Order: sequence, then C-alpha cells, then structure tokens
Amino acid sequence: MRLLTRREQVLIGLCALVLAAVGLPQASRLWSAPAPAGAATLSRRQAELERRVGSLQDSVAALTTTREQTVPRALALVQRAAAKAGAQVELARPLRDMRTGALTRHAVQFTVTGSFPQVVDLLAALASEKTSLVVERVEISAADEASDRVQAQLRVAGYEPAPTPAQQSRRSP
Amino acid sequence: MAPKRIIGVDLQQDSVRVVVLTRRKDGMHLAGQACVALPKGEPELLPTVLRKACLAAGVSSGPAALALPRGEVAARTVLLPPAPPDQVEPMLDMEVQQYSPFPSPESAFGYLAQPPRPETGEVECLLVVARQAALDSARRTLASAGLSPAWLAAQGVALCGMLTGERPVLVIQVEAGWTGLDLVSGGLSISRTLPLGSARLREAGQDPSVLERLAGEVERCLLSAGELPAPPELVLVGGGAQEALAALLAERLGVACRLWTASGQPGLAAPTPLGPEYALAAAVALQAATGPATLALRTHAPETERRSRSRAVLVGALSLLAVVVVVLVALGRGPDPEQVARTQRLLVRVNSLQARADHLADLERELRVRVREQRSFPDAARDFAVRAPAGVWLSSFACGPGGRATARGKALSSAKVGQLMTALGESPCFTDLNLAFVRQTKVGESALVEFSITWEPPGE
Repeated sequence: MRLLTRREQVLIGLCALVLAAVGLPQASRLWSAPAPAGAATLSRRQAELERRVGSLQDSVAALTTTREQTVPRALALVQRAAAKAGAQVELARPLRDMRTGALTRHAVQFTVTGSFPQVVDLLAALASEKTSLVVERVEISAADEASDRVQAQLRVAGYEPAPTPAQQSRRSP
Repeated sequence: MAPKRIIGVDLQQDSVRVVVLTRRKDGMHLAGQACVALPKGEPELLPTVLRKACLAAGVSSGPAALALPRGEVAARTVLLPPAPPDQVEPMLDMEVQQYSPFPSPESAFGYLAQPPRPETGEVECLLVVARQAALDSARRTLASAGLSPAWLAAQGVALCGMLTGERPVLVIQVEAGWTGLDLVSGGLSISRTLPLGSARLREAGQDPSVLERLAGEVERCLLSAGELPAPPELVLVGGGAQEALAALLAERLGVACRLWTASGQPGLAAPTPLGPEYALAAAVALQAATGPATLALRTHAPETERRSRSRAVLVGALSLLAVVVVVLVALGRGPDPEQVARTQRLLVRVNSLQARADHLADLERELRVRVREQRSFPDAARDFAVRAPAGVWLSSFACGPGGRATARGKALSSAKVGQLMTALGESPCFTDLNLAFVRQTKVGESALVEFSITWEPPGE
C-alpha cells in the first residue's frame, strides 16, 4: 500500500536533504565549540600559574643582586669578615660584567693578607653570611718566603637575570 | 481472555432488556435478566433506564455486549482470493470502503470467515459494516450507564450466530414498529426489515392482509435460501413474538415455526424461564462469550484517511525536524562572541603565564647553582693545615666555581707527599683526591719536591 505519491516522496527526500545539509554543520560547530567547563578550567589554571609565577619571582629576587648593589654589598661583606678574622683587605677591584647562560655576573676581586688561620677564618666568616653574594674563587699563596703571612685572592660575585632581547631592544634607544 | 461475566444489552424503541451470563465449567449460565420500559419520546433517559435494568438484573458494572440497530449495519458476503488466515482481515480492511453502503469516510466492520473452498481455495466471508458514528454512540451509551463496551455487533448476525446449528434458521424478530427477517448461513446472508410492528401483527389473526404481507416476505427469503442444503427453520424472537403468530405462520407457510426460549438454547443454562424478548440480549452475550471474536465491530479508517494521517504524521515530523534545525542554527551561531573572545584571551594569558613560569623556574635553578655557598672551602683549608705532616709546606690553595680545588706546595721528599695524600684521603673535605704532579726542585742548596694536588669539593 502506497501512502505517498512519488512526487511527495521526492519532495520529502529533498526536504530531509536540505535540513540535513543545513543542520549537520551547525550541529558539528555546536559540538566543537569550547564548553563552558573549558573556560572554568582555564580560569583555575590561570590562578595556579599566577601563584606559581609570584612564588618564583620572589625566589629569583632573593637570589639576585643587581650591578648597582654588588660593589657596596661585597665591600661591606668582606670588610666585616676581615675585621672579624683579623685579616687586612689590601685591594678591591670591580670586574667587568660577564654573561653566563641566562645570567649576568657582577664580581669584585679582593686581595686580603694575613696569617693562614686568619684567612681561613675570614673564609669561614664569609661562608656563614646569608647573602645573595658568593665567594666564587679563592687562591691562597704565601706572601713571602720569610714569614707565615699569606695572601688570598677572593672573587665575590652576584648574579642577575640577563636582559631578554626584547628588553635590550627597549633599552637601546 | 473472555470475561467471566458478560452483560447482554438489547436497546429497543420501547424498552431496554438486559441479560447477565456467567461462565462456569459446564458453559454459560443465566445469572439475571431484566426488561425496563423506555418512556416514549425521551431518548435522553436511555442511560438511566439502562442502568436501572442492569441493577434489576443484579449487576451495576462490567463488560457489556450490544447489537447495533438494523439501520446502522449492513452485512454481505464477500469472496476473497486464496489467502492465509492472517491475511483475511487486512484484505477485508481494504475492501470495506467498497462494500460499505454508508457515505461516511469512517466506518466499523466485523467479519466471519468460512473455511477456504476446497476446489479453489477462495475464502467466503460474511462482512458486517456499520457506521462509525453508531458504534461510537453505542459505546457512549454503555459507558454512561457504567458499563464497559466489550463486544458490539449486528443484531441479525448475533441472532443467527446463536440460533444456527446443524439446520439454517430464519430469525423473525418482532419489535414495536418493525419486524426483521435475518438468515445467515454458510455463504448466504439475508436481512429484511418490514414496517410491521408487534401491535399490527397481533391483529394478524383478524386481518389476513397483515399475515399475508409478513408471510410473503418470509416466502421470498425462503426462496432466496433455496440453495441451502436444508430448508431453514423459522424462529420468532423479540418483544412482539407470540405463539399465535408462530402458529399462523406455520399454518400459512407449511414450515415449522417456533418461539425462542432459553430452555431450548444449546450452550446456555437458564434456571429461570427466559422468553423470546430476551433472545437478542442473550444472543449478543453468548456471542461475546463464546462466538468468533472477528465478528466484533472495530474501527476502519479508509485509505484516504490513513493517507491523510500519514501525511499529517510526516508533516509533523518534518516540522519538528525543521524546528530542531532552526534551534541548532540559532545555537550554531556559537556561544556568545564575547564569551569566545574572553575564553581565547584567557587561553593566551594562561599560555603566557606558563612560559613565564618555565622561564623563572630555569632562572631560579641556574641562580641556585651559581649562588651556592662555598662552605667546604674554609674547612678544607683548615683540615689541610692540620693534616699536613712535618716537612710539607703549602704554597697556594685555590678553589674556583664549578671546578676542582687545587693545593700546591713543597715537601722534603716524595714520601712526604705520599703521607699527605694518605692523611687527606681520610678527611671528608677531600673527595676524588688526585696528585697532579711531583717534581724535583731546589730551594737554595736544599733539594726538595714540588707537588700539586687536586680534589673535588664535596657537594653542598
């Protein structure tokens, strides 16, 4: 029993095709659109990252010494330690900045004299300081053949993040 | 499943008759009957009167069987081509519109199929067609009296179905205002209605013309039934059926004519006498309980109606589809553009933060390596001085970032250098101890050895 004529069947088929052609792409767009849950996840992730970045910035700041801070801090540090150990600071000479990886090193070279125990005490006093400066290099040698005095060359350095290319380009003009 | 109790209802112009049958193991039993007069010209009282009759018969509700009035039903025999039993109804369903004498597009039908003819396989069917409006009206009438319509059929078919046994029966139903003649047997179906009511027929003894008119019609029916294997028996039923009329007809026609009573009805046990006025009510109840289910009238929707319904369903489905697509299109414009932009900005910000966090983590790691405290160096210098044996003089002591520490000095002999190495090796300040060189040298007139030792500062 045929309930619909051939013409009606063709018309209905055409309708279904048109509806499918219009509706399916829209449905697929709808399904592929970001879900509200995605935005919520992103917001949570943003908050987490902001907290982590803040914490890392604090850590980096605590370990960083700028060029302007390095010389006065290094002088104060070594003078204090030498006074404590009974050694003498003969010379202090700032060195050229040096790029090491992602960091820039600012350093001061010191020449200290005293007896070997005094120099060792001075080094121990420097090591006990809580500071972002570090004694990078130590060379102890006899000051002269006749006495027990020694001379120590100390390199005290501080580091700060090297400027990124974008920061450099902003600074150059 | 057939009901345990069935109420047969016969609605006539002047009265309502009810018969209640109950099913027992040995067959159907008469449980009650009642006949209540219907006030003339007040058809709206029909439900009330029907209810009263039911209560009088001992029932208040239950499944009921009813025969439609004669004018609302038509019966005829249809010969169908060879077909399996389950295909008979669909074939008849297609034929109903063709055989229906009613102009209404909707009608109801029932049928009784005979066994297929052995020679041709054709199936002879008694097709009963009724007005759908009459069927609906009958249902409403029963429902308004508290009865549930269980079986609705044609009067003549129900009567013949009950009365026809081995011998065909011509049923003469005498009611107020009309007389019906019905014969249904095998492939034959005869139905006539005469405008001779019970009041006129009571005068048949005195007025020969009345008897002659009825007898003439009966003779024509008998002639039409001449092909039957046995001459039909005449049975008088209805509110106007009387012994006197039966005797007159038998005498006039020369055939047996009797009044219907329940006591002579096979399959029905009646403890109380049941007269011919209850024949139709008993017939519909018996047919509903034990007769063929196919005789019950059901709605037939003609093809045009079905087609229009199918179209309506299709149009509805397509409309729904269109609405869904419109909604999808509306939603497919996407989430709020502002929302999308916000999400994209958020994504960019998160990516940027991630990159910044990675960069800072690298910086922190490198700074920690560079700014590592050199606690071991003073300890090593102090330990070196303590452990150096007599005859060893330290001339330089150096330590640089990320590299090995170095000590240089002079000793009286290489053996002294060996003692120094052994002593330093026992200290935790000197790991990976290594003698870089030992060489002879002279200081003034003294022959000494010059040495260089390197080691790895212990990890902080």
